[in-house]
Amino acid sequence: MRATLRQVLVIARLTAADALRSPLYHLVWLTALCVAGTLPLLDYLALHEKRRLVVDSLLALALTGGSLLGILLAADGVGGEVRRGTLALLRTRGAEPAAWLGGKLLGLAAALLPFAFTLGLAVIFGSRVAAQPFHNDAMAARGWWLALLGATALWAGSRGRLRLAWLLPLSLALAFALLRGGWERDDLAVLPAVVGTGCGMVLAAWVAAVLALAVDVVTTVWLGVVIFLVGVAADSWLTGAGRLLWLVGPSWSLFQQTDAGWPATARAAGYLLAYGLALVAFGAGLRAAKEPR
Amino acid sequence: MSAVLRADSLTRVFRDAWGRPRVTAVSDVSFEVGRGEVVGLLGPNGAGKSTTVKLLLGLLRPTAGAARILGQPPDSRAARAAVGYLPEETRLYPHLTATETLAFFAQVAGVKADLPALLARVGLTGAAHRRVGEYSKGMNRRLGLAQALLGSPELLVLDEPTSGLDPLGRRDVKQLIGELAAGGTTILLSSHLLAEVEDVCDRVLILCGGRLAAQGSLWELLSDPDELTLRLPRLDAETLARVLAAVRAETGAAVTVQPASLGLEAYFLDLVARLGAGGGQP
Repeated sequence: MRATLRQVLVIARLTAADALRSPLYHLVWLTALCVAGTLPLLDYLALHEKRRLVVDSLLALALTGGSLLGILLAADGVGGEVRRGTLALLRTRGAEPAAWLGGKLLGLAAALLPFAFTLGLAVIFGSRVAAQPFHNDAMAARGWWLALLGATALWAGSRGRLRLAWLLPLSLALAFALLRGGWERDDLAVLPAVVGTGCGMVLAAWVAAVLALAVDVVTTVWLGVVIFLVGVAADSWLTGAGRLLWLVGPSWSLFQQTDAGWPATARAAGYLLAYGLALVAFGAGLRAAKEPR
Repeated sequence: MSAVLRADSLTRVFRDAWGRPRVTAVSDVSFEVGRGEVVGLLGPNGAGKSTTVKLLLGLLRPTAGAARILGQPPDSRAARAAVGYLPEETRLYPHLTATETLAFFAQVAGVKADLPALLARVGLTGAAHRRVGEYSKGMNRRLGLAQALLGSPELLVLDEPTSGLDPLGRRDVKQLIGELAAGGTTILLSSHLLAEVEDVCDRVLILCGGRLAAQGSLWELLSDPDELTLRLPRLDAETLARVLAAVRAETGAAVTVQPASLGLEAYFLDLVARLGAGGGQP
């Protein structure tokens, strides 16, 4: 049991490190950072300080962007191991299919954390900016961007770029707090919804990870996106007893609740965990039936 | 001699989606590999070498028959701990460095390893902290070999170990195989490079059409009982004529004389050694 747990954690760490070093990951993550960094401008030009609109839009953006990123990471990370033959090597080193898949799923969740954290900050900033317009405070906006630029310069010149990448969204959070006179209680009211959205991203990655065991990378991405779109609309399509189908096909309804409190987020996290365990059992069985190539 | 690896009537039939037999990749293959032996698994493309290796390692389930490693099923913990495997293609994690890659496999296997020493053994010390994605095919092969050596396994299964290596790399790998065998490691080497197998193996198994067509020591399989090869130092023409006349008079048989040849590989290695690693002018 201890050996299996060690394998799960080691494989999870590798999966996260491998994903975080992918140039594509950085591209998507920097897009999230740009969204967070340009919020004063977005708010001024497009969203017109409607807090609800700002938060809803950003949460939808976070769920969609994060889920697509998760699907891509899973297709490449899991499908890549099958294709490259490293899965067979790991089997000869004693890693069982369930431990391997469990590690992959945990690693994917960890890899999505920096992205989810950055977009989560964007949602919190957006909520605050919409409540108290930021665009009039030109000096504050400049200060915010200067903080991001400074952090980027420090980060680009550093050695452990991967470890220090957290510096970028954190610099925004710090600048935000300093320039806006600290955090307010309302700023964090959207936090449960942000965590729920993060869980939704992870679910998309996990579903794609199991798909990647059976089909190639491109098919995984297409199928993953289709399942995600169907799952997002599950609430409208499935009513009454039809909702039992959620037990089989994943539903993202639980993860899209702007006004969610912590109890609703806990339910979403519970659904994610239960679905994840079912995916590990199903995926390990599928792998055993297919046998490593 | 105790058997480290044993195949008993191994058979593997691949089926189509409807469960109908599609191809019999391996049929009724039986053999044993004893401790410290270096055995070559030979065969043309599609002969069933890779399928046999996967059956032996427990990566495929046999349709009939069984494989045993140290008397245990190949997917048992004891068998897994005893085996190092180099697959036919080595494409490891491109974003990790060599050191990180080896550390990862060591952690998964739960073994402690002196990674710098292992990298030095396969000639990758200078590239230990470079990303694997930047490696040449030969360097990837060396890293795969280092991975197989993690935990000092009792049994090494090497699938085309010198594929992608230059002559120097091939020489290094052959030397390494010799050292490992001398230290008691059992090695099963699958290859289609006959010269390579001939250089390092004690015994060969030849697969053809999924069946074991021949097996035995190189001496048993290759020696011609009706002829001898006699190697002599260079002789002047007069002495050589006298020797040949004596042999003909004694045996009455035709005698062939050929100048001894180094072989292209030996010539190349000698030349490179004389020029040094930097490759200056002769």
